[in-house]
Amino acid sequence: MDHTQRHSTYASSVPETASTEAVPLVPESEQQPLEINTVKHGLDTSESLAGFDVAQEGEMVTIEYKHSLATRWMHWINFPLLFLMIYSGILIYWADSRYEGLHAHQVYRIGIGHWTLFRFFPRWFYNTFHLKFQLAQGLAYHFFFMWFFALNGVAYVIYTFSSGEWRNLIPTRHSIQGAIAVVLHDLGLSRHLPPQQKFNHAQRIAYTGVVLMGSGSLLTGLAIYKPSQLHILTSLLGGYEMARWFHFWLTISYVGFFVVHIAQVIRAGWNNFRAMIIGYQVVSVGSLQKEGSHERSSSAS
Amino acid sequence: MSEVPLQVKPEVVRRCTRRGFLIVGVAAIAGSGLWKWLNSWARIDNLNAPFRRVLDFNATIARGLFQEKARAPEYTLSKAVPFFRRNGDIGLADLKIEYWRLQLIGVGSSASYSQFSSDVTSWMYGVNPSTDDDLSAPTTKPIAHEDDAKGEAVSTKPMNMPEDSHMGIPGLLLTLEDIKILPHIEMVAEFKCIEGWSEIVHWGGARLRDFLAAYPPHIGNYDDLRPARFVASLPEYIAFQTPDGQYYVGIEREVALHPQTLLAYELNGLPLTLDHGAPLRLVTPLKYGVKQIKQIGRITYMNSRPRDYWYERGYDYYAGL
Repeated sequence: MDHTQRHSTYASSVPETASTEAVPLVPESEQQPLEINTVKHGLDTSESLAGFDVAQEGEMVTIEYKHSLATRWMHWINFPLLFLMIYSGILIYWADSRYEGLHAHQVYRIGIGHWTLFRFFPRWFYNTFHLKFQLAQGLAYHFFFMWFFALNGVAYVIYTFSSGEWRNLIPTRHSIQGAIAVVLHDLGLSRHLPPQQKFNHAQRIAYTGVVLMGSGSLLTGLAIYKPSQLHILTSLLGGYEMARWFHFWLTISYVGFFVVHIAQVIRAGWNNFRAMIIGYQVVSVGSLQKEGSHERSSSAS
Repeated sequence: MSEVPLQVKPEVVRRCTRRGFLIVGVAAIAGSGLWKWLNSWARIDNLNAPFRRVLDFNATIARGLFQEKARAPEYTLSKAVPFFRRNGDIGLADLKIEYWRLQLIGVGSSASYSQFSSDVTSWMYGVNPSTDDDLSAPTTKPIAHEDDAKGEAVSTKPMNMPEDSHMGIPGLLLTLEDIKILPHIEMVAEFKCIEGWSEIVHWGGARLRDFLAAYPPHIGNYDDLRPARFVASLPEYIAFQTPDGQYYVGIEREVALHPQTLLAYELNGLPLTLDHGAPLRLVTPLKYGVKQIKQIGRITYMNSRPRDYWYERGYDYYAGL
């Protein structure tokens, strides 16, 4: 496959790119029953696809269904919910941070024993984000949105398994090796990029990991929320302070995930990002590749 | 990916994109509208109604699901902190402990007790001279634990009795001895503050359920003291107040009956200090510290939800752990 087609995005540059490419006509035998596909995808029903005609001549783009409607909705619903959970969590942590310097904290810090290198969060952090002290409001938000965050997460896990989508997401025995190769490539340390599937191995590990982190947040959250009634769970997590430690660092990990995620989305480009909105990704402009032969963008997103 | 690639005209992609981002825009506007709407409701006890309702809903689920049946972990004495952190001084006064009485309202046949008073609310608590004589002088802080810089903020104040403090309510005026003759319980349990810290604390005191059995709300006949009937006769809530009425909490019946709910008068084997709520405070691992009221002055049996200091300031009423 011509490498220039790899990042073919449908944008202003497309006509130029398209004009330089041969536009083979699709033989009748390779045409797909489009109505069936499009109905199944739940996106482009009669309104948006009714007008096009595969056999017609002219510039054509090859698109591929990447993210289902359910995945996209749950992804974008999760975004503000996770934001609100983190925001309200910060409001809760602040009640403790007020006594910065007065109490050497054992939980929300980087340090060992009596030695603390960094205590979460310092005053400048709250000042920077113009956060007012409001513990009651933070608790109320946290215990309100927790339901929606949990329900959305549970719905996503159920959907992923019932739809078979988990096959694209669960790491395989090649994933560690594959992920290392992807990371080395994306950091510019290696030119070798292993063959890509829908999600590369780094993505498989990241996306499965973030779902596990979500369930970890629910479990550690429950252990903190009802440490007396659910003391068995709390004890299994190493006690109340340990459960709070896990809960806190999971949150920090989300922020880390988010930063890498955004960087990779930017790197992967518009076509990849748009697929999370419209479901379809443009595979190539002007030609139809045999399924599975095309490369995808290397980057996780 | 199992999906088969499609070939479409560029306009289709353009149209899809337009439509997709239109939906995103509408959803974003709807989302921010929802957020504003949730925060625009009238406040119920300092919390917007939707959040207040969900906190109450959460409490209903927790109460129905757990029924306060679990016992919180207890620890060996060596795990207890030597100096328990101090936090909160609302309602604390520099009381003269010998003039302290526990006002108890709602006891059945109260006139039959030797501690009966026709108006418990008129009891005059004594305040130590250092604060009594000169109200403008800086309040003296009992030095019990020196570890704690936060302790600077915790002080006892001259008592400021509210105007409606004398209400002509009959009941009992109990002394600390009346509590101490109840079976003595030692408990080493983790104290959890809603602000995010926790410490394992060694308490000593009497079970609240033993107190309730000793001073039950109604004794129609002696059968009422049998467990099942006893529970059924109990009030739905128990209200607690500091002597000056400045701090007040309510707890549910199931919490009051829990074997780990104590009327504590000792900390680390020594009588409670004023900053930890001398002479008597509530201790229960089923609630955050905000419910574990210090320096109890009045206990009232109630069938309606009592006032609660932090609830009125936007916190959850239940605050159950």
